[in-house]
Amino acid sequence: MAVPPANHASSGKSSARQLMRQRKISVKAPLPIYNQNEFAGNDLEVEPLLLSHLGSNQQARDSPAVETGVDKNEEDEVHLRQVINAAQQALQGSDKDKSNAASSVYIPTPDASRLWPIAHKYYNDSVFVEPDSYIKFSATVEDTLGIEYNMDEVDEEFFKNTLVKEYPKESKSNTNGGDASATTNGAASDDSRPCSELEFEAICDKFEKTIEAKQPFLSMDPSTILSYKELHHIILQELNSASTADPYAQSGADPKYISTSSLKEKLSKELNFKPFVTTFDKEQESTNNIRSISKLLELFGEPVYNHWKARKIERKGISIAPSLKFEDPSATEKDNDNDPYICFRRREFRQARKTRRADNLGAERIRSLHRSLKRARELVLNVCQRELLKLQSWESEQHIFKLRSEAKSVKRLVGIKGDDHLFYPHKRKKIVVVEPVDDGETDSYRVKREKKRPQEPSSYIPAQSKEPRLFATPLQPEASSTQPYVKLPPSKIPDLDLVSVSSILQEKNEALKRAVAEKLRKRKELDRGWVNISYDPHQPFFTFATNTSNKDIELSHIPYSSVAANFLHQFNTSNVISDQLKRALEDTKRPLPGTKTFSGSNGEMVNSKPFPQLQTLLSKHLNNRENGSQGYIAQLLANIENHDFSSYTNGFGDVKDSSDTEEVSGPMFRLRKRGGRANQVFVDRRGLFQRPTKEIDEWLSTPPDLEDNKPDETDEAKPLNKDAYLNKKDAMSRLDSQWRFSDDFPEYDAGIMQPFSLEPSRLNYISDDTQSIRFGSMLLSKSYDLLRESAHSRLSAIQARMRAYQNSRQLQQDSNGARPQPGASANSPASRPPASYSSANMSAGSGVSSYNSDLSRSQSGYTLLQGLQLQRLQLPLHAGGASNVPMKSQISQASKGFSSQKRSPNLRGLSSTDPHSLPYGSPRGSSVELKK
Amino acid sequence: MTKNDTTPKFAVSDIVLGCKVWVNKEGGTRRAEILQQHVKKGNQRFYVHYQDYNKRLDEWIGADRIDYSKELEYAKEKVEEKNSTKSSLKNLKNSKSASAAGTPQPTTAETLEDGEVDLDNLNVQGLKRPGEELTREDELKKLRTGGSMTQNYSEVSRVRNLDTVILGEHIIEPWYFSPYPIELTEEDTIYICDFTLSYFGSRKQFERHRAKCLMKHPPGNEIYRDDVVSFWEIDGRRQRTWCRNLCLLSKLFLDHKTLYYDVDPFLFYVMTKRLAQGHHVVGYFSKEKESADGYNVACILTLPCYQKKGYGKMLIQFLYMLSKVENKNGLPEKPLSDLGLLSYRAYWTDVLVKLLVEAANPHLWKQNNPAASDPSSDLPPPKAGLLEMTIEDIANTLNMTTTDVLHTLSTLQITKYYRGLHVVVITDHIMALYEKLIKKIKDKKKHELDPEKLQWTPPSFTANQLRFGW
Repeated sequence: MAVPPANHASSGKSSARQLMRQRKISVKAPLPIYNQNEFAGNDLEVEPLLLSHLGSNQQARDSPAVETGVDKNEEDEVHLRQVINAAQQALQGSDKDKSNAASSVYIPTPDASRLWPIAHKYYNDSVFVEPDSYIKFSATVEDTLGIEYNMDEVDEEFFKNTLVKEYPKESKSNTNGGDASATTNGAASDDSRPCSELEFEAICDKFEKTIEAKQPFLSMDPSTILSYKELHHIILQELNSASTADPYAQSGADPKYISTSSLKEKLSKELNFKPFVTTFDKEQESTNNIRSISKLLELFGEPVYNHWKARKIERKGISIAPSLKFEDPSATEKDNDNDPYICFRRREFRQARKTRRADNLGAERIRSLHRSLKRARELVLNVCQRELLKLQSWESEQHIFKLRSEAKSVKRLVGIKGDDHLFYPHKRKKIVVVEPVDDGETDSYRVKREKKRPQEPSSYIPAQSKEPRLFATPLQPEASSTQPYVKLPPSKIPDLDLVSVSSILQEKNEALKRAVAEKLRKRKELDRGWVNISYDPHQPFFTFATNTSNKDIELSHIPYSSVAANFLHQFNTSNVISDQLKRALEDTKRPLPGTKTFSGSNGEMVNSKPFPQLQTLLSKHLNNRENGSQGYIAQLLANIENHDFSSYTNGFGDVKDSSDTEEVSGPMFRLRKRGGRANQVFVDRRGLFQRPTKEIDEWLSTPPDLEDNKPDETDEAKPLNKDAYLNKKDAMSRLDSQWRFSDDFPEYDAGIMQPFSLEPSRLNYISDDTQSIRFGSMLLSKSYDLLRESAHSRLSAIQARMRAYQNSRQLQQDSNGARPQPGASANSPASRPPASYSSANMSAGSGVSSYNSDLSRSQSGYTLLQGLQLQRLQLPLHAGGASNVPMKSQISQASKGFSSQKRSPNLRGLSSTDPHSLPYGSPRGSSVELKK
Repeated sequence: MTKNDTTPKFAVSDIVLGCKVWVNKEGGTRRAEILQQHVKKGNQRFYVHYQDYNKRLDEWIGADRIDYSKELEYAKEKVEEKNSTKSSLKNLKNSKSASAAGTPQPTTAETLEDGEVDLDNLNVQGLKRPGEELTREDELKKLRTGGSMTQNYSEVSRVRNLDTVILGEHIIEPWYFSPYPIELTEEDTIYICDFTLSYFGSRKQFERHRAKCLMKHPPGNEIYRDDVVSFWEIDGRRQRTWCRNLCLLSKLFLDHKTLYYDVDPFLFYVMTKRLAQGHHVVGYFSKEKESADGYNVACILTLPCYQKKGYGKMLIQFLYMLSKVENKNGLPEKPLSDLGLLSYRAYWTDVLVKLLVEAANPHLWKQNNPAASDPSSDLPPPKAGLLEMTIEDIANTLNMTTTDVLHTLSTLQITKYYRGLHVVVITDHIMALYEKLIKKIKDKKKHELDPEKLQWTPPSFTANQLRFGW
């Protein structure tokens, strides 16, 4: 036994170290579990903290201990402490101590061991039979009690000595209710039988209940108790009213609790079934024998009333049976609180806030509950009535059987023969309602039906699975009115596939799915080629994205586009090719580059022929390989030769299906408005073209020829010249401008189309952002003054260079006419915001003030003006260095991006250098004229 | 103390309510407080509460049992705090006793005050313990929010009001006051129907009631049944009468139960024993429909006629079974009674000992658990050798609170301190307890409930249902 020696010893030893050990056990720390034999007992010490303070040892008592949970006043009770100490000692001491200590100590309790020898007299009911399943039971005590009034000794004395001996009075016309009894023609035994205990209780119960309902405050003045006549009258009245239509509406304004017995009474009246015995009535025999209340009152009412009244008044008007004391609303709260006999008080609770809505809701709920309860009640009642009828029918059958057997024996006795069929119960035929319809018609009809039936399921089912109508009636509506019930022999019943509900539902489901899929498909078709531009109505746009994989990049975050749109927003979503132009095109039969040629106003496609001058142009370009764009050129040429102009509309980057470009005479692009969820309005656009710049330029330069060639067209055009918008030239330039800017290609596509950019960031594929940040941080270190100085000096240098460059470009442009599309190339430098800033503000040099607005829009988060400034000074240099980039268009693009700044004086210098820059501020606006 | 001094120090007439005298009890003398007195057939009788005895041992005694040789101590001044357990021996006397005994006369003011106390005592309403008034409000507040256990609040209720109760075939002496209708207190015996628990002062009434009563079992749903007992779940709101009857009955044996508020917010789980006549109530526990404090028991009682037969442990096992289904760790509402504490400790000891011993000795676990072969059992895995468990693990396994686990561990003195660590050591004594337990189960002396037989889903109530209005 290596139990640590009794804690007296150990605690003494440990007290010195106790401080070290005050560590509490953490509930989350794992406790290793050892068997005692795994220890050399020396190191083990009982945790002093945990010694119960109930232990005998005083020291341990002082230390905080675990709460026992027993009331503090009772913790010191002798017996409890004895028991606990005994247990404690048993734990510490040896086995011998334990066994006798534990067994000898107990908490004494008052005696409960005696048995009541006569108990069985009162518990002599039928043996309880337990069902196999667990019992579910919801009846209340009151339900199972039968009549709630219990006769006591006083009642018994009266009952035995007076009631049974003296009542009922012999004659029918006795003192109480003589005339009433005369009307009853019940069996004589009903009247002469003495009152049973149960009947006595029934009467008293009736009195009690009625008084309780009618005089709830009788205890205030017991002498005002209703007289027998009044009471009798009320009870009878109630009994009679119970038989009226709605037994629960009778109580009218105050719906009251209906006691089980009165409920039974009412039901009995309603069903007209007596005696009304339920499974809650114990001795069905005795309950059966109980006479109706009216009868009982008539026979014993008065004497019982007098007896009962005396008791009631003796009890000061409260119920004769002792009842629990509840809160007395008239007493003070303190009295109510302090009376120990008052129990089961109501619990106060916060009333839910009442609102009209909640009220209505509640009322509606109650109404619906009432309805359903009523329905349920009707149902049960009907079932009940049906069963009663059944009972009757069985009874009568039994009666008939008895009569028959009697008759049989009599017949045998007398020796009459024949008429035997009278003695068998005739099998009752199923009631078949056959309408007297002419036979022939029925037959033909039957044939018709038989033919029809097998087909019907097959014809119904595939028809999008209408409804369960399938079952409804497979008859024609006109026939249904005269439809007789025809009983077919089993062989003739056609094979009718039974359609299950689930299959119908499934079919319905599938049809729905199909419809949805179809809708979706149609929708897709409709939507092809549409681009959602709701959040970016402005065209053209720049993108800064470099991620080529993301084609459908969202454009909403592209800066300035919306600004530009706000400023110059003027959509002309109708056909941008004016009627005049259209006609011209029709008449000339000369293909317009970049458009499809069409014939007739119905827009049939006509194979277009290439321009002669285009041919030369292209051949020229074919040889020009300096830009390494031969692939593109070759493709272009091939396309033109093949009359495949899809590249104009779709670009070269991707070859889309041509279906969306089919509407040749359609607008350049279409906008459509559509409503989305939550009344959101989206704007989609379809069909933008990339401007075939060179070709357009060429073509634009030829209008005189066009006009010359087509005199009739010019004739027609002349009167229309009054309208600025219908001016042909204007229209064409408008068209041009639109084309110029309306390419749908994002920056990366432009990059594909225009692989000549030598921008540094592009060279080594460093992202714009990274590049920007690099520059910014690099430049941060330079001083502002230095910067400014250099800026000034550079500005002049740049301007000089730019001019020089422009000149050289002009030359270059002249020299190679078939350059790749500048429209596309224009986009690429402009896409870098710093670059665009710089070009826009270049002339201003240190126009710091204008940056503020730029800064706020800057995506890359530049925070330092200096960085920006320098950057924008440098970038043009790079651009300039890359001689292939058409500086003019770069600048123009840039300024276009800043169309909002168009009027700022800073720009003036620039606009003077490049006339193109200014008008392009209006990308779509046909109101702004293109200046050349 | 001075036993030989037989000279009477006071007379019977000196005795007033609230004073303390020495009474011959069980061969010795014991200090007792006079709570009530009356004259029956010319004999003066006193209702006494023995100091440091539970109230259930309070009794009526004749004047002859009082030891007049020892000092009589009067109730302390009302303004004084009640907490002093040691007598300050102020020897306060009221005017009545002063006239008879030659003890020092108190000041007139005090006399008056004590006189007032006396009047209060005579009036049934009064007699509050000093200081009681202060806590009264809090007490009620506590009641409003939840549980049903509390200290009694009125002096009247300190005196047992019924003499004998016949429940079914058992004649039981009540322990405490219970607010049965006051008319019944005049009867010598009250009869309680074993099934409806209805109470009758008149035997005829009882007879009539029994003749008509059809109830054979508690009016609720049976949720557990085995060969020995059944358990029933009863909603206090739906079975108000029955539950009230049950509460009144149990109040006879539970000091700390209160019937201040109605039974609506409680569910009653009733344990019954099936006999030929039907299911007889053996014990029950009530449980709040929604306990804010995590209590899984409000009141718990085994009827005295069935006590000391292991039913209490079954009740406790069952309530932890319910907590297991609910997946909650529960604790009993405090205060516990002395017997309650012992029952709980016995149960806790059993389960803890079983858990820990079997955790440390997997072979025992296999051997003594038929379910061991069943992998689905949630008993601790038979890990060999050293095993560690946190208190929390234990608590979660047994659905006890960590406090209760600690409590039991400490009473078992099973946690030791070893090289700076807390460890659990299965001492030989614990092993002995374990073997005893196993033997008991094997010998069928102890009945274990089978969780498989529980057919129960925790009832859930809407907020509206939990607003217990009428």
